[in-house]
Amino acid sequence: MKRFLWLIRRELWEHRAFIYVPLIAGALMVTVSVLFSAEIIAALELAHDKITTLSEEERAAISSALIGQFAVAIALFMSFVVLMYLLDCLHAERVDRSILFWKSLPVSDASTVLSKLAMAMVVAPSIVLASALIFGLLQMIVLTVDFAAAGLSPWEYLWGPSPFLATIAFLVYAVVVQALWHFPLFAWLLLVSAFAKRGVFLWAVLPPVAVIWLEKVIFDSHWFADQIAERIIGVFPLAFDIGGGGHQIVFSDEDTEIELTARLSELINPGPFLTSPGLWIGLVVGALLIAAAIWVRRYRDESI
Amino acid sequence: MAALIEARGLCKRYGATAALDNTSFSIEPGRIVGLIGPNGAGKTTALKAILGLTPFEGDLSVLGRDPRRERHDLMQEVCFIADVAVLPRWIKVNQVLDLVEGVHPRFKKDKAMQFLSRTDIPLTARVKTLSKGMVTQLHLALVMAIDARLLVLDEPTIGLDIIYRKEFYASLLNDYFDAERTILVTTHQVEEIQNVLTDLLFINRGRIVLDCSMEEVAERYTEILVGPDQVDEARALEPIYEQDTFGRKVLLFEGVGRAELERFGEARRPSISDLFVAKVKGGRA
Repeated sequence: MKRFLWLIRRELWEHRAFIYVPLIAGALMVTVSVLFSAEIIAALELAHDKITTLSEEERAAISSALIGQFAVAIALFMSFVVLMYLLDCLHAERVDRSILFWKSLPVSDASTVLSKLAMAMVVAPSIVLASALIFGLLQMIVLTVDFAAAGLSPWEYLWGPSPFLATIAFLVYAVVVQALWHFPLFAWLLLVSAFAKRGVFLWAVLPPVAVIWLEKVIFDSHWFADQIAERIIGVFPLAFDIGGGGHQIVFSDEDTEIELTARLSELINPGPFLTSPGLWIGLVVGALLIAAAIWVRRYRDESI
Repeated sequence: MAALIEARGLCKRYGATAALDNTSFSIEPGRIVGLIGPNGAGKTTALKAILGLTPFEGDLSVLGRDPRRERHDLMQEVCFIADVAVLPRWIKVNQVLDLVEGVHPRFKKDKAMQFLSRTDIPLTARVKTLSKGMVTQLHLALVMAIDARLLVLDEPTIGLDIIYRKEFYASLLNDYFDAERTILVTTHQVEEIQNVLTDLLFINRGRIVLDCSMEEVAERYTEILVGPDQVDEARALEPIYEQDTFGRKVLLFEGVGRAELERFGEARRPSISDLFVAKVKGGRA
């Protein structure tokens, strides 16, 4: 285990984007809200009467969304970092021949590949979570000043109603569910990275595209394309109780309508997720692809 | 004592060419063995087989283990430097020290630090900012601080200037090598290591063409310099190789008594490079 943590540390040394991309994304969002403090204060003053008449639930919904928006934005940036990382990590070491150094250490190929998988499935989600919370809290501190300046009590309207624990529970659940659902995609990227001599991106994309095209030509159907789309975005309807239960709070203006949830934890709905064949088939396929990636790294003879 | 490496009938093909062609050899502990051969002779393939980096056919035991199945365990007691510049370029010197200490149970960091303190390598520098010679020094510092039984070096000094090359082998001999350890080295720069080696393994076209210790080389092989008038007489003793120098001929004999040859003039032990050319050309003829 101690050794495995060293492998993780080594990945973070090499791929600093895992740290600085969330930091930059979060810092930018907070900076924007600092820069626009005057506008925010003006808007708060304008909406003063509306805010003071909001129900407890409505206030909770707004403050949950504050942290939630950081999680969504940072997770989006992080998914690009993870994508690039997975395609690169077993390929670059062959290009610069440093694989010969890594292989001179008493570290099995399985631990090496699993350490890279752990970066995508454990480390990246943890960093997203931590940075969403840190920047969400920073944002609330900034807004505390804004609320006070607008003559609204920050405690009563911002901090007091905020369901922190519910939000954290929701975010933890969301990143775990997402990582499990995306596991076969991660595993596919790792296999391509271990296998392709060059053009890792094309290797990652073209085979699935070819399958989709062949299926279209031969059977005139789009089952595989549906599977891929489902795999990329399909976890949300499956794992979250969206639109059911009536926890949604609708804020409507003349031309916009925003639906928010007071307590995000109420969206957690693991039943359909855990019982869906898609999850379990995905885990099996992912495990096979990871085994293949380990095998390729172990027995592939040529460092390019 | 049992052999440290025991290879029997190794075979490995790349397409139509055989990199290892029924190759057999064994290496005893406490030796410094030079594995020498022309390009494409199978040197690197043999090393890769020993290190478990490539699949092959035949029987191979390294430290009593099969490198195909027990690579991970083997790497605790085997170190290798596969030519220069395989250290990851992004890593910092202190990071690589920490990392190897973290994952290698037989690595002594203070020993590596001690070696590095004699160099100009800054601990906070990244590998990519170091000169080629410094990268080799760093790699050597890492390897020398690992208490391993077998050290495999594949062209460890290629592309380095002469000062670094001399230092490299001097450090290896003075600070690392002892009776418990074995070093297996391939190199093109044969002259530089001939005083370092205890054993020779010549490989050509996947086959071992010479396998003997340096003492045996001195016993078995003799070189003499003869004038044109004596060439025919000397040739009657069947030299395995001859070459011209300044109107005279250098003849190399295998298994011919020194006393018999000394009547032609001074008899001496051939250089490894001459012996190598003789053996490899002989194999080609």
